[in-house]
Amino acid sequence: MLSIIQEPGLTYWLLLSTVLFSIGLYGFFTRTNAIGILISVELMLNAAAISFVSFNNFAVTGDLDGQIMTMFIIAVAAAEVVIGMAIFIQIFSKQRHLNVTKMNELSR
Amino acid sequence: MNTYGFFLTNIWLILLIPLLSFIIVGLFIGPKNKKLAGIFATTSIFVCAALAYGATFEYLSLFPLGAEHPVIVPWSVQWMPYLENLTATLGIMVDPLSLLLMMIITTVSSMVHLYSIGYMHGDPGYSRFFTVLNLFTLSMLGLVVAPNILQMFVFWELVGASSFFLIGFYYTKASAVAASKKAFIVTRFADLGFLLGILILSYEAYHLFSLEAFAHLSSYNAFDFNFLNHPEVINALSTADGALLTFALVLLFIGAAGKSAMFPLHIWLPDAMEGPTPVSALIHAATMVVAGVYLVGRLFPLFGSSEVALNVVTYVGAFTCVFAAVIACTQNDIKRVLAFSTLSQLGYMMLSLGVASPLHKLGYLASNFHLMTHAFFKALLFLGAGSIIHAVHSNDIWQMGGLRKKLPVTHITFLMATIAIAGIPPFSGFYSKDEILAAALVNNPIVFIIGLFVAALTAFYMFRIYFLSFCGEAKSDGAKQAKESSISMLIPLIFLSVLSVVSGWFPFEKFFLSEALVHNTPSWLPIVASGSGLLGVLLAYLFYFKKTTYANSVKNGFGPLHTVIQNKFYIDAVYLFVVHKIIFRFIAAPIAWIDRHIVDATMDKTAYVTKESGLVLKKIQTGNIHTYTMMFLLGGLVLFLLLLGVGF
Amino acid sequence: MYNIETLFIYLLSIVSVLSAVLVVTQRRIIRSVSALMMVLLVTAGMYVILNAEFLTGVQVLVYIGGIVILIIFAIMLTGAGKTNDDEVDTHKKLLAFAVSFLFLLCSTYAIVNTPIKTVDTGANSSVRALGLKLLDYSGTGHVLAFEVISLLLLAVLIGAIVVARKTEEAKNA
Repeated sequence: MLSIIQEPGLTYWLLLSTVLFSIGLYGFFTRTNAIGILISVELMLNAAAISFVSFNNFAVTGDLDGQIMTMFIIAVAAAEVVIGMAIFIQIFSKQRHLNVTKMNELSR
Repeated sequence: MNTYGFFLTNIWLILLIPLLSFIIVGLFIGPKNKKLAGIFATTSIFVCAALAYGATFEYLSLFPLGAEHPVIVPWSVQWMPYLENLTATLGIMVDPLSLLLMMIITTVSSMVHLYSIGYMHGDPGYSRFFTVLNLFTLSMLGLVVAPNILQMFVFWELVGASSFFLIGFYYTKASAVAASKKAFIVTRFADLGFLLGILILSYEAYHLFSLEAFAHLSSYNAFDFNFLNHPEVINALSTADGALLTFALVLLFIGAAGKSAMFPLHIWLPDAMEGPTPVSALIHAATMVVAGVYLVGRLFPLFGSSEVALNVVTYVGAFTCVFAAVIACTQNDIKRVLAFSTLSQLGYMMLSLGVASPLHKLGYLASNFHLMTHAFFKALLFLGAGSIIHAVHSNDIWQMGGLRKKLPVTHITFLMATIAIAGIPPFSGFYSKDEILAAALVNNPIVFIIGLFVAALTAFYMFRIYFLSFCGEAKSDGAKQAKESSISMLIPLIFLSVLSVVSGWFPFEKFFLSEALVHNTPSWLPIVASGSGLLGVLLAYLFYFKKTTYANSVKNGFGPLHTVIQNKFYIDAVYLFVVHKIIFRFIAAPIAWIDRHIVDATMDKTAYVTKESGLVLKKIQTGNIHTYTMMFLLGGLVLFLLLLGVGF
Repeated sequence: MYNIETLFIYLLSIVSVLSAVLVVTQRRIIRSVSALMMVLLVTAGMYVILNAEFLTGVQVLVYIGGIVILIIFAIMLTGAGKTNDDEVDTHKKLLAFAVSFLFLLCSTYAIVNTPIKTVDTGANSSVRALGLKLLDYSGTGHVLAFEVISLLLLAVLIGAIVVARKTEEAKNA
């Protein structure tokens, strides 16, 4: 166990990524603002990207698939945020709040 | 193979034409043009009558009088092929019996149609009446031409259904609805026996096909009358299991007894007078009620092999005969008297069949002869009664009187029919009744005495009606203002009265048999028979012609007995008691309870469980994104842990 | 054993975890977003250590410079910065913590007990190689994904415009 920390190899980076992911998960369940949830999702995506890059570095040395995957993750995260924000703005203009616990019906 | 002429090859038209007429009048002409509906329906039945007479003519030219008269089946199609040798066909059988009945049915039906054009004029259900009359004629024709017992059963039920529509024609009257229900239920109940008899009989007959001795009969089917009446088949059936054969025949007779209103299934016939009078003439005089007699006659060789079955037929017929005649003497409604008279005459026909046997065929002949003559004069009596009722606007014979001058044509024709039914020569009734009595004398003297007694009673109550209605003075305003009916109602009366006279001179024996019967009837028989009829006439004259003092004193003398008889021996009350207190309470009510509380409750509770579980499961859909994600994640983790556990 | 690189790794890890905790616990959204920015920055540093220098630049430019700015704009436009978040009930927080912790344990168990083989393909890892790999249309290339992502971005662009448009009644209201 200690060797994982003393010599940070693949396992250490993966554990770090998992910790960040679970923190993001906690944030997802805890926040009531829609934007807050989106921020937690970004955190989770970021943790996943870290794991890809660490795999690329330690398990598949020389090839660059992991880094390319990370670039794609970043691109998709950007796209997602764009659309999410657009939708949130529209919802806000109708409801004047962004509390997800109050948005549990399709129509009013 | 004989070449058949036009009428025999196209004999299927006799079923097609009423069917087409029924559909066309019912769907197309009836709703639009009432008058045309009546004319169209009547014309189609006249065409059928022409077909029937034509077929008879051709049959007789192929097989002349006095020669062999075989059974031929000019047309049949396969209808319900169950198994090899167990196939029901739809076909037309031509032999003297079915030709006779075809002629009777079409003649009487066409007369009734013609009469109804005048009688039902102005009735709102005019077109419906003719539609159902056509349907009835179709079903009756299909019944009598059936070459196998299954087709006969199907048309039997169809006859029952059309009579239901006709008896309950005035469906706004509660009594009419009740009467039609009663008729249908009683005959349906009897048909249970009929169906059981068919099943047992065809089951036993079908087994014969597996025997080697019957290989030469393998072209027949177990349902065919040709097969069931075959001497070898009868021999095999009665020797193999005579008791079972008797049982099947008695069951078949129960079915016949229901349709022909034998005691104790007679209760529907008097009530069926609720229908319009032409319906009573057609159904309850000439056609439907003779279906039972026809059934026994059709299977006569089979019945002849079983002494017990024949005895059942005889005694039930004889009892009904006298029972109905006694009641008829006390009734005050003209149609009720005629109804009980029909019951009595049907009893005659049944007992005549019962006293016959394949060796002594006189009873069989006499029964069919009486069937024919009775059809004509009873239809005439009913139509005449309809004419009277139409004129006087009342059914009660004590409201009539003095109609002799006011309704001349009706009077003459009614008188001729009454003389015919009383059995006075040279009218037709005498000949047929005489033959019945001759057959009874030879085989069963007790039944002969009963028959003679009933002949006197018949004359008595029929002339009672005649003297009260036509002679004397008018007893009510309706009788005073009576006017003769229209010509369309009078023509059938005249035609039928001619038939009532001449049909007695029909060469019946030669029509049916190939060799002449040996008649060893004593010469005193015709004199005694007509004598008892004249005795009845005399008694009625004394009681009812001028004053009714004698009649009243006799009635008071009988006192309570008279009341019992007038109420038809309270049989109806007994039936109602059994049905309401016993069947409804102990059988129908528990079954209804089970249906409502167990069968329905099961369905309800199943639906309830579904609904409740739906309501519970609805709570999963919260709409809250946190809940969904939690369930998602937990599901994934549980799966992971399960796989982990399994790996261990 | 303990060289400067390892120390750096520890430093970066601690800072990122602490910032992440700040992200999820702060009630005010702006503070949350700032902590997120911190996490992303630290992640960029980690990419350097993991020999993915180009990704560092991409991370800072796109992730921080695009996405976080966008989030801040949205926060401004929806006035989320003015009001505090509604607190969730304590038992919900407990449940969330339990589930996250359970997830952490399961993942840790999986990671620690899975032997991972290493493969050395011996290729270059420079920006040039990255570009070639991205546009390589042989079996090991990612040109298809590249094209699809471009289409996705185009669709997102158009979609965002359509979605965020003011509707007729909103204009009249």
